[in-house]
Amino acid sequence: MLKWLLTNTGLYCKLDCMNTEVLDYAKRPKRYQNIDGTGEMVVGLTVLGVALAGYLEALLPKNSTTWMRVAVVFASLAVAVCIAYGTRRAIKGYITWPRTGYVAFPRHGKSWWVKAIIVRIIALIFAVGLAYLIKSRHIYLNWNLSPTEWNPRVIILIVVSVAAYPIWIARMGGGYRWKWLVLVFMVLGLTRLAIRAPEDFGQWARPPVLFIAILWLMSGAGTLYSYVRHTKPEIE
Amino acid sequence: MTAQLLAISELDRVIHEPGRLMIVALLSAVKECDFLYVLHETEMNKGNLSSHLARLEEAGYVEIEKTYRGKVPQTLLRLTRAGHKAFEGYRKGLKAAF
Repeated sequence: MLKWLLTNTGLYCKLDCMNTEVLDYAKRPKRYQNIDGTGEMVVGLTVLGVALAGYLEALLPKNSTTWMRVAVVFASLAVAVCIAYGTRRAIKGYITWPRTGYVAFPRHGKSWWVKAIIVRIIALIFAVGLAYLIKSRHIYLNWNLSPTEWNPRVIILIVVSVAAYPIWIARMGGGYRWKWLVLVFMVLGLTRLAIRAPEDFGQWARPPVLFIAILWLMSGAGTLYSYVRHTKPEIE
Repeated sequence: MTAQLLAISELDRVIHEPGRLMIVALLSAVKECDFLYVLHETEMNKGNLSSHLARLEEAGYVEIEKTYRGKVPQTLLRLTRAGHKAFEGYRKGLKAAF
């Protein structure tokens, strides 16, 4: 009876709409984080670091030690992550915050930095341990790819790369229909790059990883361009 | 009076106003943000937003800090502990009203 009364007086509807709007507004800051495409650029630059690590590692002399190879990979990744972080800071500071405002997100929990340090230490121990196991031949990696049977690693690489992008588009909300075209291009490009003569996995993976990095970077640049076109700097 | 009507009548009037509700909902999801961001998201005019913020500050729900980013003046906004509590209470009250 009360529901009927409220619906007919519009109060129930008003409260219902209000609840929906509250939920939408609480989600807006998260969407705002990538309004300028910096999130895509960070992903793109990090993946670019992985691709460069692969190419640099291939340039090393054949008799290089495993430690040297691991050092090259980590150095490339560290440089890429630093560049990605710097790029993000610069775009936010010089473009986004003067146009549509500054937002700082909460670090969940008081001991977030303790967790961050623990995660980094575990990652380092894992990387060093893995490198040691490969070097001491406790783990044997078969790098050869069969031309007829696709190696599961190839399929995982393609699925993970392609699946991450639509999840990202969905997180950003509407208004970015052109990104679906990027996804189509990503699928076609990766399929084309995957169908190649048999070679080892390291050699095979380099061009697709570079391709993925370039597409993420281009997608981020497109988002930034669209953002700059639709906003102008404001003085408070 | 039924429980539903009681729940509606007990909603926090300071937050219940749609303009202020937008502001509090936005601030609840961030650590801090500036005036420009809230202005951009709520699409209110500066005067309206200022008066709503003053009302929220008066109620002790929002903390306003005037600062500078380089040479540009910046007004930082934060939801206080009381603000977070009030917003949670409001949302619970709204749910109870359904």
